[in-house]
Amino acid sequence: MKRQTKRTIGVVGSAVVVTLMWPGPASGDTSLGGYSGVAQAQPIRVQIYEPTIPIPSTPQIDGSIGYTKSTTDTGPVSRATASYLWPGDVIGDGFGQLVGGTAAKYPVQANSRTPATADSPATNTIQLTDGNGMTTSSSDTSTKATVTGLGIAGPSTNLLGGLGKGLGQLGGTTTNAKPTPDLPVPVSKTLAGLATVQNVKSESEVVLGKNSVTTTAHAHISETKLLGGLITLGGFDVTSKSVSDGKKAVSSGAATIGSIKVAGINLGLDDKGLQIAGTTVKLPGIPAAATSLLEKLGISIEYLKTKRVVSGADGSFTAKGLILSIDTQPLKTALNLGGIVGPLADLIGKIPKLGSQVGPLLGLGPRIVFEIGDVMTSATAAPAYTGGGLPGGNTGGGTNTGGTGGATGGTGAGTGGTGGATGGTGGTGTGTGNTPATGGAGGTTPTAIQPAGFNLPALGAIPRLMILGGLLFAVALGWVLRTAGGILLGNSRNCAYGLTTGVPDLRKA
Amino acid sequence: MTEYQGPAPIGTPPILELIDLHAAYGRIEVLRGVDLLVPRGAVMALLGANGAGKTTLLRVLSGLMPSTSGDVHLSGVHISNATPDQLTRAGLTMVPEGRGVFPNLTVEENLWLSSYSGQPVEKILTNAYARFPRLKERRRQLAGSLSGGEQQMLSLARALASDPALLLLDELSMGLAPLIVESLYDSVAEIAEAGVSILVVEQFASSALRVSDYAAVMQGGRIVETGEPGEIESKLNELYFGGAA
Repeated sequence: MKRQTKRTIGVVGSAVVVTLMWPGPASGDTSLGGYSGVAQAQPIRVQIYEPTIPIPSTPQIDGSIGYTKSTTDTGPVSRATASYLWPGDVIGDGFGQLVGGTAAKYPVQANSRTPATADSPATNTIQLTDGNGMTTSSSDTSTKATVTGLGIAGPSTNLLGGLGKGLGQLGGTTTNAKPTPDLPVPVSKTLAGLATVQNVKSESEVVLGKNSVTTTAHAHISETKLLGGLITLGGFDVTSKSVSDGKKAVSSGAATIGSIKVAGINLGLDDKGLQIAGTTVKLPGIPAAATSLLEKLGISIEYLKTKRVVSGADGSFTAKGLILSIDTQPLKTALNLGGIVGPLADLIGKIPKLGSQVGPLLGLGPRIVFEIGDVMTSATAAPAYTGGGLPGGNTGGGTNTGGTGGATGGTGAGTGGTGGATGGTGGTGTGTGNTPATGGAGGTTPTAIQPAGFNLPALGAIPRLMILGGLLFAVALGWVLRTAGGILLGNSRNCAYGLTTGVPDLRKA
Repeated sequence: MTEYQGPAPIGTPPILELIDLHAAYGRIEVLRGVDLLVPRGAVMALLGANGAGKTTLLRVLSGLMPSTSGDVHLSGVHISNATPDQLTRAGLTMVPEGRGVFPNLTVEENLWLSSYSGQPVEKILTNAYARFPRLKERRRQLAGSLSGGEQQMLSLARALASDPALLLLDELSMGLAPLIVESLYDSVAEIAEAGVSILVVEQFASSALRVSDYAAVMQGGRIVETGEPGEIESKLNELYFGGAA
């Protein structure tokens, strides 16, 4: 085989191998090469830090009301999870391990996956009680989880009993019997002491579009009462959205709170409530009187907290309507009313049942944190490699389409087909055979996708004489150093016995 | 220069001839005029107490350390400043003290590395497994997890992969049980029967002497006695301990 033939085969073979190995556009009818999107909404999240609870995580209890989470990664591989009462990822996802390595799963959840499984079908709906449901769906292009409900109320029923027949319907079990009760999910007195809510909606969604990945999260509750009504939120709505098209990301969101009352003291929001993110509204401070009272109760409030991070094609937005941190020791002391007088006693007196409701919780300690309206979205994507053909790919006659885009760049004849990843939409030109058409102004020079800092000089940019000179210099220097070393060590003299100097091949001798 | 006392060359030039060889670590001279001759095809045992200079001599011979003066003749050729790779390609291979296997590579990968000498990998593996069947059983095992004896087998097999004409063995018995040592020296005898000249450095004389054609004793950086194994064995106590026994 001639050398030229071998070389041609080598070049073509290498090109084929590289082409086959290069990751093409991901499936799901998108032009993106890779993508990842996460959306999560938790209207109410409760974290309890109690080291004596034998759960291998911190905080030990991390539960949510109206938890939804949707994720999509390149593939697409997607999962949507909706749970009316989510006990945190450790228990929610690791339930089987925690109860002895069985295949048992935390029951109050609906899941959908792509690719779908028996446990997580493409669409899944579970009705906990009438008006309180969890819905998930997952396809190649959209992954969505929704929790809607009338809320959580606090009649004197225990949690599991309260969920009643609704639990029996989990896992596909159906019944014609009407579940009772059919209004806000009743929970135990203690849980109700932590929080009761009305009209809950939680929604998270990841949509994979033709050229972008979009994530949205939304949490809404019309009324929230915490700690037996000590703190009341008159409706809030928090949203988050992140979009990435592989080149840049855009993240935004908003948090709106209708009103906040602490022990009946209004914190001063007007009828329109308070909205941030995207506006320049200055946050009103919490009245000093209320702050002082709250401090004595061991309660601190931080509200309307948002965090937006955008870096290139990565974007995320996190918003929390209100963060309420309770140091249980001062509150426990206050509830015992020992030596408390004045405004604080008046405050406690306004909520006579508070002690009996939250007392058991305060026995846990040392810290309880509520996050009201916790939403998060993140999106990142990378463009697909769309080729662009070999430079000046003279593959035969044809019409130069003037670089109409990366995917088709380089298929035309002549140098006109230089349209690369960033090919423009310029005019058309014609050309045949190896005569390149001028091809109008289309097809800007493709932008090479290179890692940051890639700055090796172009092939052939270094003068040959310089390379040759460098090599000769290195050889000469090596010889000098070796000879000098021999002289210094006394081994360079001729053999006194008249033998030739060198290294014999012992295997031939 | 001391008078050469080794066995007389027979016909062809000796495979290794050392004349008044000196070497030093900085100012500390370790080899103080070594004269030694290893006939082609023979097994020479180089004995001596700790610190006699045996390992240093092997390092000089294999090019790992320069000599400060003296002559080394390899198969009748004066070698000067030869590098380890040149010597290995010429057919001089050393099995270092401590085996020197790559602990995080498998047995087979260790042997593959020996193919730098130009031998086909298949041939290297076939020969190694034929001589040491234990290595075949362990071929997928990390070398670092082998027993000491198995590591020494691997080290020997790797050295043989370069098809050496002169093999330098340094403290083959170090850290091994006596039964393993005996087994290894049986292998050394087989290698010698295949025509490979061997210079074996050993503290524990009996095993080395059992397979040797000649023996030399080093003391204080010099060869103080050479002769037949039986002759040397009878003088060992005197040579090692100055006559105390």
